[in-house]
Parts: sequence; C-alpha cells; structure tokens
Amino acid sequence: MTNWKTKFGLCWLALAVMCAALPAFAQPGKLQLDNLDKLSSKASVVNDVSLDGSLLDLATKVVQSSDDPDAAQLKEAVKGLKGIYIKNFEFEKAHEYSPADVEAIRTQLAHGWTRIVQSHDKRQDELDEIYLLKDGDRVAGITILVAEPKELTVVNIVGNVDVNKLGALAGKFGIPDEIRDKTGKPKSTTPPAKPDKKDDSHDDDQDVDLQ
Amino acid sequence: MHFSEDDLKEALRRKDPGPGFTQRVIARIGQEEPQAAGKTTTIKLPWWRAAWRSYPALAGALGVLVLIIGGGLGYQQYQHIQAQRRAEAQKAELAKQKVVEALRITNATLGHVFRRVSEPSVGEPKIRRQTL
Repeated sequence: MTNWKTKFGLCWLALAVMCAALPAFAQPGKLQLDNLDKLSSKASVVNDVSLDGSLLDLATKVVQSSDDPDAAQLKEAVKGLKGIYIKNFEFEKAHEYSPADVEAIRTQLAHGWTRIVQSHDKRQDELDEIYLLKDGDRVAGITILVAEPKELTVVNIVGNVDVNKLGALAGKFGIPDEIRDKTGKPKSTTPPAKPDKKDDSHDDDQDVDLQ
Repeated sequence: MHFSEDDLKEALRRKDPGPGFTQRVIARIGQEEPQAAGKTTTIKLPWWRAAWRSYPALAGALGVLVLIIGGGLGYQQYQHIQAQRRAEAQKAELAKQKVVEALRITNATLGHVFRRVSEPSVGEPKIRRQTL
C-alpha cells in the first residue's frame, strides 16, 4: 500500500515538474493573447493575425520569387522575425473591453520586457505603450499596446525587429505612410538608456525614448 | 563371380525371336516416335509468352488495359502533385498577404503611438523626454 502511494506521489511530482517546465519550451517573447479572443463577438471589426516562423519563411520564399522591386524591402523587414501576432478590435461603443483584458497583457510584459514609450491620456481614456524585449544588445521582440475607448490593438512581434526596415515599407504593398516623418526618414526606436520604472502614477504623462 | 566358358556360350547362344518379331519391332517404333516428337514441342515458356501464343487477342487486350490503368494512375498522381503545388502556392501567397497585413497594422499602430507622443494637443500634459 505504501509502495503504491509512493509511486502515485512520484507521478504527481513528475507531472508538476513537466508543467512547470512548459513555459521554458514556449517561444520567448510570444505573448499569450488568447484572453482577448472573447472580444471578437463584441467587436465590429476584428483583425487577428498569427504568423509563426514557418509561415514567415513561406512568405519570404514567395517574396523572393517575386519580380516586384519592393519585394526586397519586404524580405528585409521580415528577415530575423520569428513570429508576428496581432489582435485588433474596433468596437461600436466605448468600453466594450475591460481594464482587466489590458492588464492581462501588461502583466506578461512586466517580466523581461522594457517599456520604451508610454502615453496615458486619462481625458481621452487612451493608453499607448511600446515595449522591447532585449537579448543582450539585440532586440528579441517588440510589443505595441494601444488601448482606446473604442479600439484595442496589441502587436506582438518576436525576433530581431528593425523599425527602420518596417518604416521603409511605408507607402508600399498598401502599407500606410505612418511612421515616416516629414523628411522622409522613418522614425525608429532604440533601447532605453535607463530601465523603465513602470511608474503609472503620472496618468497624463508621456514617457518617450525615441531616436 | 566366375563365369565358365560354358556359361558364356549358353548366354550368347542364338535364340529364335519367335513369330511376329518384325511386326512387334515396327509397332514399338511407331509408338515411340510420337512421344519423341511431343517432347520437342513442350519447351517451358514464360506465362505471358505462353498466353500470348495461346490467346494473342486476349493478351493484347490485357496489355492495353494495363497501359490504360497505368496511365490513369500516373495521370492521377500527376494531378495530385499539381494540386499539392497549387495548394502550397496558395498557402504561400496567403502567408505573404498576412505578412503585408501584419506590417500594415504594425505600421499604423506605431504611427498612431508616435503621433500621440510627438504631437500632443494644446493644453495637454507635460512630456518627459528621457533620451533623444
């Protein structure tokens, strides 16, 4: 009887160890965005993009075989990326999503990620944040979180992201010319000089770390 | 074993074959000739050659049937491979469209954040710039 109990206990222990080790096998930098899926039914517009490494490779092959001169830039932008995961919801009415939905994302970003941009406007009830995940000196991921009353967007890119290359695609492939400045040079983000303290006490503040 | 001269003489002594000897010999020869002739025609042939010889039309029809079935299977395989290639090409094109869509949303979102940060409206809060 004691032997049976010991074996049963060991099985539970092994299971617990395996469960604890599971996150280690997950793709580093990839956020769990499943909690936002429930918003799909409330949203009037849903953009849900999930591109893992294999799909990115496939897309790169198509781009390579293309004669389009802009294809090289697209290939460069995608090069080094391991995954792109986007959830974008547009709602007819304000506050269709709860602060807890946003907090669930921010909680994941609290570990290992560095916030480089934060804009919290209480009057317009809008939160904009950009986080970077660093692996040594290189960027291993970027997450953009935009929470507006009628729109919620989470962009999670895993891999070596070069915002300059993303900006170079503006105006091509139907990509809007959003992150170019008036001189025509794309703006870019760089890792912050100081680690972010994540001080949310300044509700109307904007913390910027742009180059 | 020892044979005496008398034994040999007895054994080699002329004997009368009896009446009808010639007819018996001729009859025996007549029996053995067809058997010998039959042996030359029963050469072991492969089944398909034997079938071809026995039923040439049937063998020809079977051959055509095999060709048709083989050709059909080959064509089916070719179609299957082509369909697979088309599906892969479609999947790749879809992946490319998704990448473009992802980059479009990313650029738009980044642009939105940059705009919010760099162009605050009048009377809006203070901006702290950490690094420029």
